[in-house]
Amino acid sequence: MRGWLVRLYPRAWRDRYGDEFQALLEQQPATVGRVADVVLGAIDAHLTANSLERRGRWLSRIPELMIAFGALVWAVAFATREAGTGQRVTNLASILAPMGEVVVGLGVLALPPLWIGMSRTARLANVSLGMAMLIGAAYIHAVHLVGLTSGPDYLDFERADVGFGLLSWGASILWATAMLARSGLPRVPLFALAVCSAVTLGMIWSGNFGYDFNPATGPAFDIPIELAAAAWFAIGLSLLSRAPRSEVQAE
Amino acid sequence: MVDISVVVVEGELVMDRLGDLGRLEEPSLLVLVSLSSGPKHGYAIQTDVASFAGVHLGPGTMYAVLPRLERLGLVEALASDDRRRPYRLTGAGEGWLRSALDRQNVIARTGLDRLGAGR
Repeated sequence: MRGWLVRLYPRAWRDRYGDEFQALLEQQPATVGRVADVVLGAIDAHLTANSLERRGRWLSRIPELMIAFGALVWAVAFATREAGTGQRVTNLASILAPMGEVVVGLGVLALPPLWIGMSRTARLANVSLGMAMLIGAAYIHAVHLVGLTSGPDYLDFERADVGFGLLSWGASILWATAMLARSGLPRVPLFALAVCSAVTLGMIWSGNFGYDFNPATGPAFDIPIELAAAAWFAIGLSLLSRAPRSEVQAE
Repeated sequence: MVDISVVVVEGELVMDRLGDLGRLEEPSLLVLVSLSSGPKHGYAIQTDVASFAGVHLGPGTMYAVLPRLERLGLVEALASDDRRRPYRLTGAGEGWLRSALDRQNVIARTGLDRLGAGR
């Protein structure tokens, strides 16, 4: 039972604290309250796991990866801006669009454990904001699915820009939520995310998010792609600037 | 509310608000107070906190707090022959705890004085 509880924690955490933690568990009876406390602690450890990683491991490279991905998204959006055919970079579409669906879908599935973990360690304002963002992602996901199942006039699933948009927007929200769970985000990336979310929701409200899509007028997802890229940029730069030297320089 | 102190580790500002610990703020303070009397391992911290504060820190809470405090340079782990690893306050941890308790002391005295004056 106690070994099983310890295995709920991330491997990096167990490597460092596993033995002493198990020794502590063995010194007290496993009541329902203590088991629940350990389960919540394990969720918290997973949410904060990357801060225990050292530079050189890929998790600590996330800020740089986010910046690079933001640049890639922006470059693709810019390079294909003039095409206006509705079939841009179609060789990537079949990969990117499902990836976007999966990422946003994971956000929906992550709601319960994130709520439990965040409510334990984060400030109430961060918990509320993070939940609002994830619920927004769930809403986008639902609208997208409705669009997909409502006929060819709604949303062209084979569009690379839609895939990029969903992927980057959904992942931005998930990552921002994880950051909120840890310690909160600075205002600049939060502002970028808020603008991105507002424009996307505005497009849904006005019927431009896949609804009544007209190839002659160009893709309706252009603006959110670039806003999502900007959000990735801002969050990545922010994380990079906030990384404590004592963690970053550790070997 | 103890959120204005500054923690510096290796010359680098790593945390300027204990509030960044979210709802682990109070358990963190209890752990630091417990370690102020000398190094202790997890179970000894639990029993000590229960004796002076009447609060039982669960094992999951304890090991959510200790890695954070260690990462911030407020506590450090000591070598141990058995699996129970003791922790102790660092210089930064002692300085931070002193300023936090001073601030809480001011708040407590102010509140008690005002309650007394109101009667």
